[in-house]
Amino acid sequence: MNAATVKNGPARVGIGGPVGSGKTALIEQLIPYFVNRGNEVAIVTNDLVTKEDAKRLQQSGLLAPERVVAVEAGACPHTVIREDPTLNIQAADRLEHDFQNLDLILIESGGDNLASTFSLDLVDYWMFVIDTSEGDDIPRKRGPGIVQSDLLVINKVDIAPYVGADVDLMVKEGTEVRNDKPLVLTNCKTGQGISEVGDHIIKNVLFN
Amino acid sequence: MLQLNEILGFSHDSDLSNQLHDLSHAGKVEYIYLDHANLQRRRFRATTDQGTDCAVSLARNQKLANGSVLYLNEDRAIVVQMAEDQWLSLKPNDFATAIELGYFAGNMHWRVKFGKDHLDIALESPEQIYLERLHDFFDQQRITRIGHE
Repeated sequence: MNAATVKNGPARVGIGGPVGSGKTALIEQLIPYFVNRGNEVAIVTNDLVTKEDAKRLQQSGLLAPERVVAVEAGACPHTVIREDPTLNIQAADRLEHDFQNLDLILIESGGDNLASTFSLDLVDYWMFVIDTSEGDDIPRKRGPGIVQSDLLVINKVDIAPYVGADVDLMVKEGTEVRNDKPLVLTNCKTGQGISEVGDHIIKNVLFN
Repeated sequence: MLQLNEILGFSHDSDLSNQLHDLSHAGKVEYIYLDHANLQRRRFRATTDQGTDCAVSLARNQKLANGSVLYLNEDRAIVVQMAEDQWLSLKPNDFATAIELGYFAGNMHWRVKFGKDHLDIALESPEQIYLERLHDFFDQQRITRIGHE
């Protein structure tokens, strides 16, 4: 009774986290990672009152500009990824309609606080990006984004020694508060950890 | 990995229940247990209680519920079973606290249900996280936890 090959459209993956933690930089690394393995990718960005992140990705040359759609939240970023994600669902639906062979839509939230989470009506899987410069006490503060995300990404591990952050402590406490759900260390300037992030997406929602 | 791409029906549907009943006697009904939060997903990886690795990918207009049947043939069925919710039951000690507690729970985006004289908060993260957020209420003895030994 089951058609084993039906895919029901592209996977939708959310990327949230505080301002400046490296969400857009992570996407700039993930695009070539997935394109190189033959996946069709599109992006939805969210900014408060501009299209800054969308323009950055459209001008990056990493994928066709029309594959990047901007949503202007106009309010606290979490309102359009959790409370009423209609604008983002419509943006994803539009990409799905315009590019019918898509495998993956990455949906980047606007920068928000540690309480930010995604509605599962909008995304199938979501990650939360923090960075070492925010302080190594961030994981143990147990914000909903830290605790509930499917994957925690700790970015900018390269600058940890210069900002006094203990990465081992962040990993230990992050693992504890997340009940052993996965976390990945990245440096989105060099690509460190990107394949591991990609592998989690492949395993959990691309299935190949 | 078994791909499951549609909801075939529900375990209480008359045309499915007899088949499921027969399969269950042969130990051929497998269950995917999901809590309330994960029941909202349409695309995810899951392992049944008998160890079958499943890749679930539903259409956006389909929504899982307790008893959703995702696979069914003469040899096997796979059914979604909603794990029982755990609740933190709190009784406010006065009217003002009741209002403040309701506001606080809403502000925390907690899922709640209302009892006659108490508030039930769904535990979707470790219980300690909720208790820590509520410590002012407890410290000031403004709420009482009920139904907890």
